[in-house]
This record gives sequence, C-alpha cells and structure tokens, in this order.
Amino acid sequence: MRKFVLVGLLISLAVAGVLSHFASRSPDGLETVLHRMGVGEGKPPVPAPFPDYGIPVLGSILGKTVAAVLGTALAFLLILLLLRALTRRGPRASSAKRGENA
Amino acid sequence: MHIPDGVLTPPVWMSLAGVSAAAVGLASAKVRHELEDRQVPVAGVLGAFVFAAQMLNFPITPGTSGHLVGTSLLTVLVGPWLAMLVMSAVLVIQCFVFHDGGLTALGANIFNMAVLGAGTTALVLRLSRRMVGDGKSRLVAGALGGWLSVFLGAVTTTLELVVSGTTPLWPALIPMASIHALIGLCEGAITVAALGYILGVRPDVVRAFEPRR
Repeated sequence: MRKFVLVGLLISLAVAGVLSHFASRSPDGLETVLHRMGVGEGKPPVPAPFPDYGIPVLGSILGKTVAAVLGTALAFLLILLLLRALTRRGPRASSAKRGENA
Repeated sequence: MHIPDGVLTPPVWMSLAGVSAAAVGLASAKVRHELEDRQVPVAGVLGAFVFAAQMLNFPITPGTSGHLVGTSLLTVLVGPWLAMLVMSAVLVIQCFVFHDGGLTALGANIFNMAVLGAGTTALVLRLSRRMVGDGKSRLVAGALGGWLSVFLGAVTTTLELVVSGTTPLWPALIPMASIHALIGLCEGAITVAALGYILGVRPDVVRAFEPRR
C-alpha cells in the first residue's frame, strides 16, 4: 500500500507540474455557455492566493508548475488530516456510547 | 463545470450549501465507522490525483474544453461516501486557494459534482453488479456512471442558473447538455482506463475498500 501511495503521489505531482502545461487553454463547457449568453463572473467575496492556478511573480510557466504542485500536495494533506481527525474520534465516540448503554 | 461567484442568487446558493453540508455530514458519519487507518493515505493520494487530473483540460469542440471530474472513479474505487468527502476536499482547495469555482457557489459545486456524481455512480454500480456480475461491473459503472454523472451535473448546474434568473432555460440547457454529453464520454473513457489500470496492477487497493461482511 505504501508503494501505491508513493508512486501515485509522484504521478499526480508530475501530471500537475508538467502535463498541465500541455492542457487545452480553451474555456470549459460552462464558461463557454455563460460567455456566449453574456453572463460575467462576479467578484469573489474573499481573494484567493493563487487565482487561476498562477503565481504571477514566478512567471507563467514556473508559476503554474509551483501552484499546481502545491495544490496537489495540499489536496493529499487536507484529505489525510480530515480523515485522520474523523477516524481518531470514531472509535472513542463509539466506545463511549457503548459504555453508556452498558 | 465549476460555477463562479455572482451567477447564483442567495436563495439558490444558500439552499444548495445546506444540502451539501447535510450530505457531507452524513458521509462523515458513514465513513467514521467504516474507515480503517490503512485506507487513509490511499484516499489522500486518489484525491491528489483527481486534483491534478482536473487541470488537464482537453479540447471538446473548437474553443471549448472539458476535464475529468473524477467522482465516478473515486466512487467505484472507495465507495460513494468516502468519494464524496475526498471530492469535497478537492473542491474546497480549488475554491479557496485557486478561485476555481466561486466561494458562494461552493455548496452548489459540491452538490453538482461530488454528491450527485457519487450517488449516480453508486446506483449504476449496484445495478450493473446485478446485471453483469462482479467482474465487469466496476468497468461498466465507470463508463456509464462517468457519463451520467457529468451529464446530470451539467443539467443541475443549468437548472440552478435558470432558477437564479441568470440564464433562460432552453438556450442554456441545450448547449450545456450537448457539450457535457461529449465531455461525459471522455469522463467515462478516462475512468475506465484508470480503473482498468488500477484493477489490473493493484487489485488489492480496491479490495481494501470493500465492506467486510
């Protein structure tokens, strides 16, 4: 399982950091339809640190690579943290409940 | 299919935020009792892969692209509840860090892509188990569930825009449905390819998420 996770992470980081540069730059289906109907995007209530997967100070190529790699790593870590928090509380909560019933 | 800020009215995005919060809460409750420690890093790496794969836009028609959503892939691999949580985490990062999908539309995006996609694919998986047996059912569910989840997600996305008064019904629904019918074909194909690869090389990974009876 450890090997699957490591290899999978490397593949994901490579997809994000390298392959994403070869992706189509055209707008996606929803963006196209909204644009055709003259609907504009609203201003975000809170600004995001790296809007549109770019870090302007690093330039367009390096900026995108760094943003994409950061995002991929962040996805892995956030899911790990969330699920760890869930499972850690799980057994304790259920054993406490069982204690009450007994 | 990530809805931006400013195109849904407050009643629409607030109700969808409520529905998605309830769905994520239910998923957390389900996952809490079933998840084993060894499954956690696998769920994490699948989420990281989906995040990365979503950056690979492929051309659909001249001037329009599509990309993998990944909910069907996750659902077939780890089950609908965990898939919903992993997908929601990916959407949260895209929204807060990269402004891909609006902050006010986060609940709608979780509903259209994570909740609906996991539910649809789980239903298709259950039906295909009955019809083609265990062996091929995952691939069938990846193909059909992949197409259906993208198509239905595009339909609900459009309905949310229509209820918000942002777009009229048919002039938005017809192009949205037809573009996403095509994107759905790619979703199905990529999902089947990824499933075929993982099932062929590491069937133990998928077996680790099967409920023990």
